[in-house]
Amino acid sequence: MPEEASDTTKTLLIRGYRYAFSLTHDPAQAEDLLQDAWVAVLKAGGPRKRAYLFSAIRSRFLDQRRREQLIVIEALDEHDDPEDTSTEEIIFADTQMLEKALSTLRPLERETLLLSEIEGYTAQEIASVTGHPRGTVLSLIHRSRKKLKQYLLSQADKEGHG
Amino acid sequence: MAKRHISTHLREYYEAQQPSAKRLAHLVTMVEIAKMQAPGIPVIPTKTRTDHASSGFRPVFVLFFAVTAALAFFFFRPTHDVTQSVAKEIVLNHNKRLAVEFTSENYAELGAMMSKLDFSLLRPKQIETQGFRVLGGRYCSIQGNLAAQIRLADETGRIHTLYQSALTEDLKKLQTGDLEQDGLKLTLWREGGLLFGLAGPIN
Repeated sequence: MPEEASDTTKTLLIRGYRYAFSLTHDPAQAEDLLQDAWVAVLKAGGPRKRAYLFSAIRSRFLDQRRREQLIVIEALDEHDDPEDTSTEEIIFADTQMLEKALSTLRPLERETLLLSEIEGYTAQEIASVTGHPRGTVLSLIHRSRKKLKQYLLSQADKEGHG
Repeated sequence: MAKRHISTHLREYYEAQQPSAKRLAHLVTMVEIAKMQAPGIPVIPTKTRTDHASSGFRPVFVLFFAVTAALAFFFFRPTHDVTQSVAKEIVLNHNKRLAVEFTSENYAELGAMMSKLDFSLLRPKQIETQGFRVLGGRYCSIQGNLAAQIRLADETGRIHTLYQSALTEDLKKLQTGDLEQDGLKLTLWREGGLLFGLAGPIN
């Protein structure tokens, strides 16, 4: 096995796993979701590229949720205060707090955060992945960060790190 | 982690997430198997494809693929601890505090409302004497199986979440009893052919 090719595949799979994990927030479900999508990509002889794998993961996740009737349709509020930059604040968090904080977000919110913060997608790119308008994506990123910040600050206060 | 920007916390958190080494090796192996086939031939040959030149080799490829896939599955099959996995899932769901979809104060009525469940909702005897009040329920899933999530209030008004699910082969392997997960008390038990999980604050 050429090491370089294998490393590239591993990197792609790890990124795919993180994306699946952002949707499920459960390690076992994320692994299963990644495997289903990977099998589909290989079966189709499709390009082993990030966008293609992410798209396969996303469609499988939505299918699965629809089957389980767990999709909660919620209106996305596009109104935000553009002057509010409070999410830039430096705050205390450890892994456990972050895990709990992220579990309070919806899959779409975690997905948007991962794509923007970790994968470096632009709002326009996220809009084309999720099918939401760019303005909604920007608002979603802002509100998700704000929710995280509020949760983490309240936890830090409780634990005396505020 | 310490005091940082949210972006930094998020990056560190997600960059620490990886699939298990076994699962990763299994997925990489699948690529190698696919590569062994002639370019353009899907991993699993489709019925519509006709390739007379290579048709003589196809049974060999298919047999090779089947044997390798079986071996790969045997050696790299997922070995999640089902008890831990279920406990984590239940506690995460409890912490989400999602709104109930069906409001009722008794199990029978709630069972009638939640008609999509593939089992009959039971009033669990194990917690009969604990004075819980039923507030309502919603659909959820445990290990990918449809389950009921019932919100209960104890005598002091604290919220607990009760889960009921049909017993699958995986769930039959689960260890029952009391455990603590992420600062919550969790009780798992089987009753009337169902799996029950109760998550709530530690006394």
